[in-house]
Amino acid sequence: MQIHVENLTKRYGKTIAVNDFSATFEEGKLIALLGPSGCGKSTMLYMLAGIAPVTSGKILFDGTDVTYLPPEKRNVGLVFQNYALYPHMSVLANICFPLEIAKVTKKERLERAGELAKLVHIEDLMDRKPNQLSGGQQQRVAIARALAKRPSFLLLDEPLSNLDARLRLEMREEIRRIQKDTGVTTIFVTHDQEEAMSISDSVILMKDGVLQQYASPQELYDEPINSFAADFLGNPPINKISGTIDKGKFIPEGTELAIDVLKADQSEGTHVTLALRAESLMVNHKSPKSFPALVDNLFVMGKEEIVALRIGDTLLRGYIDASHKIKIGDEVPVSLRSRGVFLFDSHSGVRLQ
Amino acid sequence: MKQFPIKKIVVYLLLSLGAITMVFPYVWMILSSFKTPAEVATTPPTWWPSSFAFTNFVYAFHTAPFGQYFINSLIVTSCVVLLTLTTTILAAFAFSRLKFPGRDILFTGLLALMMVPFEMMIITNYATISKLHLINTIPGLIIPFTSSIFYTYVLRNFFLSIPDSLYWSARIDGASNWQYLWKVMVPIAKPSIITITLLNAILSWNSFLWPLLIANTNSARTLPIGLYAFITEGGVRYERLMAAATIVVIPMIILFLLARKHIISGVAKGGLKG
Repeated sequence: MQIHVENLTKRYGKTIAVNDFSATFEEGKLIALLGPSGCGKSTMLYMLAGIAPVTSGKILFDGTDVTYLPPEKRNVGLVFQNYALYPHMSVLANICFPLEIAKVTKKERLERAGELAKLVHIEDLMDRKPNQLSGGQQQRVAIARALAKRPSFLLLDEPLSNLDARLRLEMREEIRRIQKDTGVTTIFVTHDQEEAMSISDSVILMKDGVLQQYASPQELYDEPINSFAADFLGNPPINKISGTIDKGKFIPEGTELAIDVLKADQSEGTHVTLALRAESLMVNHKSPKSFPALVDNLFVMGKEEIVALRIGDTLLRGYIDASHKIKIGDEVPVSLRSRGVFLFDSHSGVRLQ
Repeated sequence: MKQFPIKKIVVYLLLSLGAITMVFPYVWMILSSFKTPAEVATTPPTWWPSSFAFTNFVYAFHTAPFGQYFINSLIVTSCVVLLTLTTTILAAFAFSRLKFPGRDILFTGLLALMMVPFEMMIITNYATISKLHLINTIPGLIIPFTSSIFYTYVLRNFFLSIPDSLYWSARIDGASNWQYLWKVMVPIAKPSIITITLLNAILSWNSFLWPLLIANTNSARTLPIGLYAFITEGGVRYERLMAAATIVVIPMIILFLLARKHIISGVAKGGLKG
């Protein structure tokens, strides 16, 4: 099912949790709602589920207005961060609960529960109570229960945040597999960029209740729309140098350098931020456009090393092959690739290049 | 050598002392119910009856229509327990989960009412019941006790401790408020509910003052009032009173033993002292 939201706004008293949000969630996709905590991504999910009343705007499911429909009439599946399994019921009873409410016959209920148990790999846990399950198992049960009544779409609220690191990786792939197997449109909330990037078809990046960018993970990384998007994605975090434009070149603050990175004319004297992905720095690489930087530190990573470079007061991180010959304190030439180099307006954060 | 567990011995000694203090009156009651009138009155008192005679029980049954009283008590207690439970569960749900204007002020008001002692309300309750022409009837014994602010308070607090996400999960699973209450909340609150039921049953079974005022005919009297019949102008027939008291107490002991496992976990979980 296709979900379309138009100018969706949610206010709690004076604070605006979600502000004028418009987007279309395509059928059969796995979509991540990504953003720092408090950016309104969970509120967005709750509005789609019908738990949080909408202040203004519209929610359309396949063109039908459901903005004021109560949650039980929307046919959605929702998995809470704490899984919210019914503690007094067995795994089987938990999965069957939505079907029991829907007055599905017992035979069909058991059949469906069997299918789902197979799908999420919990066949041998059916008689257990939730408190006898591990976090990952509870997660699987919660997903099975949410899928029991064949929802039009599945909503997952921070599905991985309650799991330990190893399980998180495992469940991440499981969520992707289950979504592929069932083909159900899935929206999940996360604050972890890696989680969002690794499994989703598209990512919606949010900040302060406002949609920043809606794109595929690769596009989001390669073409961030503003300095927040560039900042939020990527590990190590993107390097940022503030400075001004002078005679068609970028002048880093507090230095005499003039870096030739501009592809088009920019107005002279504007305060701008040059953002560079770590992999876009070619360290110890001489070229007509290279500029000097001081080696501040070296971090061994194995195949590669991370080198911290100093330009004026700014530290930049770049990769260098482990076979390098440079030492801390050296001055090295640095060149830039064309990919992963962005220019933002320092005040508005708008991307200039 | 294993160290001598002095601490353990002291603890057990104190616990045993407490247990004996609690149990002694019951044992005394039961043993006395088998004694002859002369033996009950001897000084120094004897512990073990010289012979076990059931005559006191027979007399007890003949002194008052205990069969009728027993049935009355049973009806009153079951009705009080069931009705209180119903109103308590519904009120606790409303005060914990539903949102309506003035909810918290109303609840605070109810809590404030708990400060008014029961004895203060006897006169107004009596006036109400008498206007309803329910004096000397079983409903007259039941109606004033069909709700309890205290139990509502206890259950509401338990309901509040159930996370919101469970409620929303149930709603998304298609359940109405009503289905959520009976299929999720009540089963989860079972220990608290059993505790409330037991405490309420014991309270109702043993209630004396109200039935004494309302029930002046055998058709409406309950067991505790029946015990009153043994206190006559000619003195108290202790051996018969003890036999009757034993009969009165037995159903509650059975009830407690049946629900023992639950009441203890209920007290522990509900933070309620029984």
